[in-house]
Amino acid sequence: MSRQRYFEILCAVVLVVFIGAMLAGNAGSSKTAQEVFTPVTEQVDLDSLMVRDNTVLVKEFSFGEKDVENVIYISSDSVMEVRELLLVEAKTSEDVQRITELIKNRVEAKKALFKNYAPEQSALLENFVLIRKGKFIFYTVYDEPEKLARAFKKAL
Amino acid sequence: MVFSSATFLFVFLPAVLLLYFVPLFRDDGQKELKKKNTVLCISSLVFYAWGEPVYIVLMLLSIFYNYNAGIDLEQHEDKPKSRRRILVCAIVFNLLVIGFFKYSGFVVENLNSLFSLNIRYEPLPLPIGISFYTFQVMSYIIDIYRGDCKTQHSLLNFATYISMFPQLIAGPIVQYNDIERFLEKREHNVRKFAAGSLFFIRGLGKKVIFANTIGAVYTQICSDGVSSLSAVNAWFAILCYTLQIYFDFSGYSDMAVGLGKLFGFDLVHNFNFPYCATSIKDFWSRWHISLSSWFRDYVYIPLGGNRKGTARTIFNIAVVWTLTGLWHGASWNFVAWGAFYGFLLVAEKYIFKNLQEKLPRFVRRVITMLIVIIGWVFFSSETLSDAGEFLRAMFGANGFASDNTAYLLLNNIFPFAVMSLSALGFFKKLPTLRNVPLRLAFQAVGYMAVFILCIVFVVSSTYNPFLYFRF
Repeated sequence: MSRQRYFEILCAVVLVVFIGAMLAGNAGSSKTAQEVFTPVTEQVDLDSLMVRDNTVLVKEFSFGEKDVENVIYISSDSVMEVRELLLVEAKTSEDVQRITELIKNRVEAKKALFKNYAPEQSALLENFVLIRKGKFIFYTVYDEPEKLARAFKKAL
Repeated sequence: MVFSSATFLFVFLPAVLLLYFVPLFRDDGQKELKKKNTVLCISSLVFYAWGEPVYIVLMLLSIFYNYNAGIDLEQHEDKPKSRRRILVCAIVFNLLVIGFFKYSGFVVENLNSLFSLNIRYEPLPLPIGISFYTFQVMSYIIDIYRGDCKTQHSLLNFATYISMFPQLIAGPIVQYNDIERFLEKREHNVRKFAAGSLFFIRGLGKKVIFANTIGAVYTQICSDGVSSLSAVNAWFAILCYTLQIYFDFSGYSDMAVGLGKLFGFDLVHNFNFPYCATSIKDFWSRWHISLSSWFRDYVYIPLGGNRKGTARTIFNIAVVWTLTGLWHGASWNFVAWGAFYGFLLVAEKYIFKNLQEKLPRFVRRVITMLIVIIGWVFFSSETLSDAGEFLRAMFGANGFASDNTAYLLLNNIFPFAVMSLSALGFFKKLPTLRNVPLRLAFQAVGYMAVFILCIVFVVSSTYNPFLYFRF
């Protein structure tokens, strides 16, 4: 058997192992959206932030309630405040991909916007957390984002 | 990372250009080209890994497998059976990659609903650009098998071809034959660099200024759901989407062509004013040209094309257009969209050909445009039932107009008119200045203004959708 043939077989074997590993790592959660969202939102200071409606969600992220199974978006109504929390249960894996891209684009744009004149907000943006697990997406810009992320992971 | 992001424009691209053009081997052209290809290849892998690092493994596997398969084919030049086996294995490998990551969820979902099964499956995120690079790599393997191109012996050159970031995430699909010569030898000069920059700015303008602006209008109109859309709002929404998808996709293609020129490559042009088409066949010779060419060269013609009688031709067209629909996304609405065009192409070829030729050019353009707009309803909808609901709204199921219709039209009519004229090639037909230096000065100022405006849009707007995550 030629060297090329060995390499081809090796690549095919690695591909199968890779797919298996990806499937194992992507195993989602059987919890409902309510069970996942509530423990996370309980950690958020709702005195300064508020739960936003569909219009704000569409304006900020370019997708709305009709595009997903469940969503909750918490932010401030001040344009100078970047703290926010977004929890999404997507309909399909394609939606997970699409929404993740939209969130990343938004973070990029916000970073560019705040970079030179709002250092504190800019620092918060630098520490944003974006996690996806199965069909759930967690995104936050917050004072202690890890605290919310831990609550999300625990709730899954 | 997308081309229209601040990270790409202000960090990634300048850094890559700097590394690419800093000469290391002034006296040795081949060594210098090798260095340039190394920079391009590594930066492309970094670009790809930016969003989803784990999928770089998939791309590397694709590169290694197909590189070896190419050499394997060459080594079995006089053994047709072995060559066929190597080709089949390579095609199965590539189809397995794209099939698993792109279509397995769709297949399981349909099996579950067809046979009332309950197969539990968490679909994986789709690797961005998988359809583009898989089709490229298949073109390479098939061309070698047919003897249409030579085997690439340099792993670096091959990896550069597959991973090249300018066309990685949104095409065009570059066939190996078209790019082979540039991998071995290519020119870099000021004229080409300037032409590339202009292409890139034009594409960036199309995407950031036009597509994002009109896309935001479409998103806004549809934000409350299709069930409440009036006829006028629905028509206006789908017209906005018609413009968005054209400027977005052709903008990305222009940026790809422009970036290609910066690095010395001449990539194929992917769009040629498709909304000026006078028939569906004409539309598909102007829209996503590289995809149509790929399906023609690697599916339609090998199946027999139109050389085996009417029934076989119709079958071949049906196969090609079902696959074209599926290529755009694993969903029944894309299959319906592909089938819609397949049916229209057959009808055009066998039923309406004579009638079509008698109609005035303007009427043919209007009819084609209406058909294309209806087609975008299937394309833009999440499901077939959503598409049906949208079509019903367009034909008055929810009333003719709603309270916000006048506001909506008045508020957006100017950008809509400018973009429509631009999409129809009106500005290209305007007379140009005869005084060359003056014309160049105007062009320079114009492009500079567009670039500055793009930067303003990029840093100030949060709306920057990426439409090709499904491709």
